[in-house]
Amino acid sequence: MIDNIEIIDVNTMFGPLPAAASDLSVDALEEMMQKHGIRSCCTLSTVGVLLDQNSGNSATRAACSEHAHLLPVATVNPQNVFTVDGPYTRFKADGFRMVRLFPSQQGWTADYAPCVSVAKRLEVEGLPIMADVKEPGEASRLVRALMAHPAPLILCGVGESTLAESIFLMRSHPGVFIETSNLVSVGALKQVIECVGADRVLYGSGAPSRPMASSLAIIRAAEIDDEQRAQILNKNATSLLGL
Amino acid sequence: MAIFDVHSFLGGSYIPGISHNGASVNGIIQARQIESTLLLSAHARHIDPVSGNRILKATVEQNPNLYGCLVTHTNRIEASISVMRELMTNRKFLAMAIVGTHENEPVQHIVADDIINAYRRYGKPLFLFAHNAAMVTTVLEIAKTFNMLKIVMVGMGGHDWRNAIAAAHETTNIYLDTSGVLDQAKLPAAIEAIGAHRILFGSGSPHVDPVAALGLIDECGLAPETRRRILHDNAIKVFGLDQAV
Repeated sequence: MIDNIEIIDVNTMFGPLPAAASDLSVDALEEMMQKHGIRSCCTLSTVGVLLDQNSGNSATRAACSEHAHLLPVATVNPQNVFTVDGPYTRFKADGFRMVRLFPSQQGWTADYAPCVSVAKRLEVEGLPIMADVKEPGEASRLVRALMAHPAPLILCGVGESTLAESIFLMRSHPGVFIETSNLVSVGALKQVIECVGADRVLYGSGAPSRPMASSLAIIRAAEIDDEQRAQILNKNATSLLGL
Repeated sequence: MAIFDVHSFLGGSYIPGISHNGASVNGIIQARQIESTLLLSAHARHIDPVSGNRILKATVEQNPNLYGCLVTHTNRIEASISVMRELMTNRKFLAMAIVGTHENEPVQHIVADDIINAYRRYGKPLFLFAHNAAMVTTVLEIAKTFNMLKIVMVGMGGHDWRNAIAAAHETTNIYLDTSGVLDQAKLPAAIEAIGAHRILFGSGSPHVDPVAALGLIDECGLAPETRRRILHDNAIKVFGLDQAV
């Protein structure tokens, strides 16, 4: 069913993560990719999320330069932004494929002034942005703040309590996509596809802290056709990331 | 391999038409090759323990592979004890859960005592939710007080699963179900600390699809014997279904 699809996982990380006891080394990620037949992963260092965006982005570039199937993802923490010009103005030139934002985890909101400034600079870069969504209302604020962004905005970590909100946003904003790692409730994936179509959904696992087997099992078990599975697991990411 | 899911809800899904009746639950579990499921009523948990549990009774009696876990409420002690007396002698009700006012706050020991004392005579396991460290602490207190009861800690402490494992390690009557966060480190840690014989497969369906919960088990690469115990045999033993006539 999905055995002959070259799977692209848009949501992985590597590096130290105190909240998880899993081994988050690049080697562990690669091992997991091989075990589950994942062709490519978008990934970033946890250092950029938890401590320092510049060190984290450097670690991400270094790791991805040594592993061709790892696609580098940059991150910006608006709390560390003090000028309108920063490293995020060079993300594309530095080879990053996407930018990730972590508002809840880092304790800021989309209407935060430095975030508005960063968003304007990222418009110039034109890379897709993937933003973590945990609480109801967060996705709406992000979409408002990034409405002018010329590239796709991917909502990451959408779960039961944020599903309806995300579907409404996707209906009214064609550039908004959804990632699957937290669509774990029965029927959630099918509901998204029925409401907005399979071309708006990207496979993400949340590995290595979360099991790839779970996220893949959800795609396998969903009452959708093989073409829709291929879109979610490969075609949408290929097109969106320009692979 | 036969699978017994000890933690699934009748109702409560945000998505229309999911798990709202026996046929829907059966459709989900059959598609996922689950042999038996222990159901809790979302209606009993969130609205009314009397009508919710009666609807559950009607559902499980019509479906041979579905069993019931009575849901009682610390804010409705008299109604809870009344419905317990009405339904717990039914052979399809294998366990009882106690819930409080807020989903993520501990059930208060002092108000739960009346319900637990009334429940002891049935000799069936008691289910207590533990979505965080504070809830784990209360479950541990109750387990120590009622040390003749088998306590199933549902949700394995959420992100605080280390606390849940430590609590189970401190007693012999706490069982852990595998639901809660999909963190692949928790199951090997639990097996190492307390052994596989006190771990039960629970999904939390429909909030977590049983296939995702099974993915957590698959990722651990367990030995076939350990896997069989967690997915099936432990539940049969804990619920006394191996002794059923």
